[in-house]
Amino acid sequence: MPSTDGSKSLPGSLYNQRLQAWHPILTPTWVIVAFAIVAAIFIPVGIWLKGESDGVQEVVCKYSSGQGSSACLINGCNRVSGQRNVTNNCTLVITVEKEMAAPVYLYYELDNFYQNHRRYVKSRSDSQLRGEILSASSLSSDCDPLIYGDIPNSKGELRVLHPCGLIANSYFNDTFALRAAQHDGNNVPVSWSESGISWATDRLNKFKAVPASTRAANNETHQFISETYPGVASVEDEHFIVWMRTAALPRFRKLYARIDTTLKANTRLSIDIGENFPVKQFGGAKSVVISTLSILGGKNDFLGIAYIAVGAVCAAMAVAFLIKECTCPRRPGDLKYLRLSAR
Amino acid sequence: SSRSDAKPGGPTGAAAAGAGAASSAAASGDKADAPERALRGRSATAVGVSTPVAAPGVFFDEAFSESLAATGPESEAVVAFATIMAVCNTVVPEEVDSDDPAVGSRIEFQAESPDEGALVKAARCFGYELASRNTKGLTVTLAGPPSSRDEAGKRSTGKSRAAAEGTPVTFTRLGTHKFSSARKRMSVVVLDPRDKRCEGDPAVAKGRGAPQGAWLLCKGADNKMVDVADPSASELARKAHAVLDQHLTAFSERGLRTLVLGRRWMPWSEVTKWRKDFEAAERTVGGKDEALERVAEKYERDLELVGATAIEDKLQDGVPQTISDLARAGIKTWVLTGDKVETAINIGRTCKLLTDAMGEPMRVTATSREGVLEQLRAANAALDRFEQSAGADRTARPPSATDRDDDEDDRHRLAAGSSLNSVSVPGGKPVRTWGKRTPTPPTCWAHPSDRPKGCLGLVRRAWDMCRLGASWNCGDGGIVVSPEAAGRTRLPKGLVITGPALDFVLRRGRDPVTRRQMEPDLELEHELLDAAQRCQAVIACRVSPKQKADIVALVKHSRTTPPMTLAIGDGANDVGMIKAAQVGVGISGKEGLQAVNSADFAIAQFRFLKRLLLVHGRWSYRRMAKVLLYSFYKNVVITCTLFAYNAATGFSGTSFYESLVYSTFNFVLALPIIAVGIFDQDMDQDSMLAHPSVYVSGLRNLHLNVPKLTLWILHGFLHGAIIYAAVVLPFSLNAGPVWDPVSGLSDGRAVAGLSAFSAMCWAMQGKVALLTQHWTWIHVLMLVISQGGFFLFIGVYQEFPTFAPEFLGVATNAMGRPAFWFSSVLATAGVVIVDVVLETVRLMGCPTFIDVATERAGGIVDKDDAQARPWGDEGDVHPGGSSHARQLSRAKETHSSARLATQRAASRSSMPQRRPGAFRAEALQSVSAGPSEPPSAAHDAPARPPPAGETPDKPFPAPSRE
Repeated sequence: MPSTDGSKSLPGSLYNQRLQAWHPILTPTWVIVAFAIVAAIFIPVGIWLKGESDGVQEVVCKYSSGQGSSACLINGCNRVSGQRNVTNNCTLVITVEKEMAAPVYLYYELDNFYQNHRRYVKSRSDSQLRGEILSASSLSSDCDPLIYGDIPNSKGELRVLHPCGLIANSYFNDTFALRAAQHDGNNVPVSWSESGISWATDRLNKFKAVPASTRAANNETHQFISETYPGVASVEDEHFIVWMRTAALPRFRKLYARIDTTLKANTRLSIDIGENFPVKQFGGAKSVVISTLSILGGKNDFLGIAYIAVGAVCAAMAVAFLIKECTCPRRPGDLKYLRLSAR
Repeated sequence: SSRSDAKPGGPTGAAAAGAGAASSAAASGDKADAPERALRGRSATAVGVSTPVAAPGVFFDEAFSESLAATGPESEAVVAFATIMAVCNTVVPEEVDSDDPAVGSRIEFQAESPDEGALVKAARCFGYELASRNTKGLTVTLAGPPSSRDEAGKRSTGKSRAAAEGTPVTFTRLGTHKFSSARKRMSVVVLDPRDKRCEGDPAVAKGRGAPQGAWLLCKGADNKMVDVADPSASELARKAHAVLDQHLTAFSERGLRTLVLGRRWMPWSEVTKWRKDFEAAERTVGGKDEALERVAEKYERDLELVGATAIEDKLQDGVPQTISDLARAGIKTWVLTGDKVETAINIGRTCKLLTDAMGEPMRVTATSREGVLEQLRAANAALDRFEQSAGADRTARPPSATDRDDDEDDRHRLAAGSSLNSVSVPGGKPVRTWGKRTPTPPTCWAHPSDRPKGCLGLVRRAWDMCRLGASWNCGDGGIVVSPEAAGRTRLPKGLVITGPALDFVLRRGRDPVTRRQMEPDLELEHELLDAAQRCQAVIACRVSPKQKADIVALVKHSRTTPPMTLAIGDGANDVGMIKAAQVGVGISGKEGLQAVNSADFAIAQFRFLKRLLLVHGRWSYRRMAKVLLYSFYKNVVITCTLFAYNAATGFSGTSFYESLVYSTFNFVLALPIIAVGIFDQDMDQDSMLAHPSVYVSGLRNLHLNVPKLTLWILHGFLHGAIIYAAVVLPFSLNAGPVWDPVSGLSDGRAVAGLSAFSAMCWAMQGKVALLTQHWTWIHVLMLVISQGGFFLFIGVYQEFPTFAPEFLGVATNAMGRPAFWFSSVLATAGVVIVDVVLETVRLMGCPTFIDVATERAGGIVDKDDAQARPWGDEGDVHPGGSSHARQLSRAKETHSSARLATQRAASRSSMPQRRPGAFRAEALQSVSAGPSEPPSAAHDAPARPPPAGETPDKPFPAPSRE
């Protein structure tokens, strides 16, 4: 329904509010056609997205529960003492039921861990993470409430944490290592990589290890991360970088390793876990997930279903409006539907 | 000499009668050369006053000229009459070079008020041309008529006189008493060189060499002049006064603005005294005006009245049409004028404010409080009676909840040109609750005649029953509302009230004399408002500038349904009123710039008010409503997502969005809604001009009210939930934050927040797109800039590791995830689809008048339907009767000829405009009720010829109903 009241010159038609214009009017026909088109687009897209999601092979192994399943045998896990330097070594045996094409990704998943709490997300010092040595006073606002570590120096004084803050010092320090992969009883070579698991931008710009000399010079005043977490050499450790990118929701997955070998069906992966991270205290849970990817990333049913649902709603509304239009239409512009009277 | 002894007596009496009868110079504005002049002159004969014959540019009255040429006491008065016209003014003559070389230079007049200019011009036509003016005096060129009585007899006939070279006569002006609205007159004290007694040196106070005296020449409003007329007038003079009165009445009944001219001979001793007083007053510091006023009062007395002038105050183009269109739009017009009652009523009739259907207007003219109260009560009683009789008609009809024909009936009347705005509640039971739910018959979902039979019919019937049971009022679009609820309906009655009577009513603020706080007279105020709000037309005459402002203030602050007031005027005396009203409009005209300078809007002609209100006013309101509601809405949406996220953070108050990104929200989304706020049009201007009833949007505040706001806020909650779900659910279910299809990287809070924010922006743009009813390239450009700007911003902002470490790389990473885009599309689609579904259901079931009007304006009309059913507010047809059908069909035929006429009118537009500023002052009061009767416009063509340049592109269905 294009209107034809455009005028010749731009300023004139602009000032006179007579620009060439299009007046869309929400007529039933228009709506029915539009909804039909939307349905015709959304339903196939939804089906495709659902298919993509279904194509993702995923094995979730909640090793903090202590109870395994046929796909996931847990051997001696969930015995964290909570003491430093006391690691509980346990093993998971994950059976791949369907072939998982390379690359396969290994995530750890935490539940009920509020990495998005307001105080938690604020409690970090980015300058410190970039390798600066800062005093307690200059960190007090950034890292509150966790500035001092728990390991005293030679004089028995507590030292400033490097890095300080809640995020850095609640680091998920369970370790995973592939012991063996077996297919039909035979060991198969599997490439396991723990690099390239963090955002490149984070790696390059945000985290700088303190040089060993500087570290030695400040050892009396600062408790460096290698002391806090013996497994972590410096803040440039990729697992640490992954951890520092806080999760949005209390249940989250973080990437741990990438397996660049296609895992055939019935491949058994034995994974050694160095268990350090307690979850019982906060009623949480931790899992290991191995997963392939799709266009949506990991397994993601929601988008596909939502697209199908929106398409279906559109189709349903189009049909409903069509029935209304066919049975008792309101002719557009007809005044008889208005109750008008004059006195 | 006996002649110069102008004492009251014979000559005076003759003068008054003579001047009055001779012509009382009906000058027509300042454009005496307009062809309409002649028309006016002819129609004047009917009143029985001598006929001024008009040639282009000339005001000529034979009888008057003859009297001017004749000798005798009568002629003497006529000369005085012409002299006063030429001399008693503050007009500045200016010699300008004429375009015509044959004529050479000519004199043009710079007048403070157009009335004065008109009088001076008229005097020129009699041969009294004001040629120059300086501080000491002024020169009048006499084109031949007797410059003094003595020579009069020797003069030859008119024709040779006209050819004669003018004689300059220089009057020495001793002083001027300026016009004031309290005195309503002005005067000059002059030495007339034609008068021997005035010979002498005016500088000499007394004795030899001094003149014998001077003339005080005065002109002013008739009642004020009669007050200061010589009380010792003879029998003859009194008779002449009676004739004068007669003529004044005749003039004002024709809508002419009258002035009375008078003079007094002041002996030199008095002049000396006056001079002392006058000079003392001029020297006064502080209160100079009051002092001069007192001097004027003191000496303007015992006047010998010499005649009356009448000036036609031409209405500007299109005033009647504008007033009737405004009435059809549901706007009520009050005229506040300084004119006399008869003049005002006549102007009211000319501009069709008062229609024949109204009969004689009710008058409130008493000069005592009791009298005013009585008259107002009588007026209200008459209105009550009228209302009851009208109400009886209504209740006589069968209740429509059961009677299907009722709707048919309504439509018939609608087609008959009745107003769409006032609607009665069927069933004869008035429902007093505007805004509350009123039981309405089930005509909304589908019309009974469309009702399917059989099974579907049963469903429909059940649905109707439910609806009735729920008392669901779906017609709140200004359609189903009782007159009682929407304030009192206007009745086709006129009310005229005078300034003196208003003095008793308007008792707010401080007393102008005693400066004491006055006690408001609530009883009178109530009676006046009650009557005035029910009358279709209200005219207040003889009101002072302060009263104008007070009336507007009274109406504005009336306790029952205080309306929105608009004051429009062109003169300095309208300034108070313009400032008092919510909307002040100034007409830039000949009466100076004070009105324009103090107004909110300045327009060049009264008729542009129609466009100002019906087009720009309505658009502006609609746009404002959209911008406001949308601004509330979008902030509800963002707050809603923040709140939802808070639940996922243990209610710790973590912000979902990066702080700077969050604060760009209202900037990012500003441009598209600004474009809507400036350019949106729900209807095109031609449709709105052709159908003023759509103005009901603003009158009833249909688009910006508490229910609307509530609805929008609820939408905000719903849409916030949809957006949050569309983004956060894919982030939390199944694989959670793994959206990276390439490296399987896990994303965190930053990506989730940015995704939600981006999806929300898309969705909000979708919402603006739905709001936009008028798509121009500007709207598209704004959407592109807005959304493109957002991506540009996040792209740049993510590049500062030290400034915003939290946001580093977030945009690149997020935009690299397909799920980011899929969730944005999902959120936008969800929001838009929900809105479209709700809106479509509403439009299918419960369209409002504005919806239907928009459809008609947009041209989405069933073809058969368009032919069969007019808008109903075409208006210019007679309501009721069998003649209307004929007229309607005639309307179709005349449509094309009306267009032709328009074109002709347009080609004539190079002609000089008629005097602007003729239409004095209106307080337009909008009440919630619509006009109860369409303006009677029998003399108009059935199809209104559109004003020049406003020809609708697409003609609306020409009515052709049987």
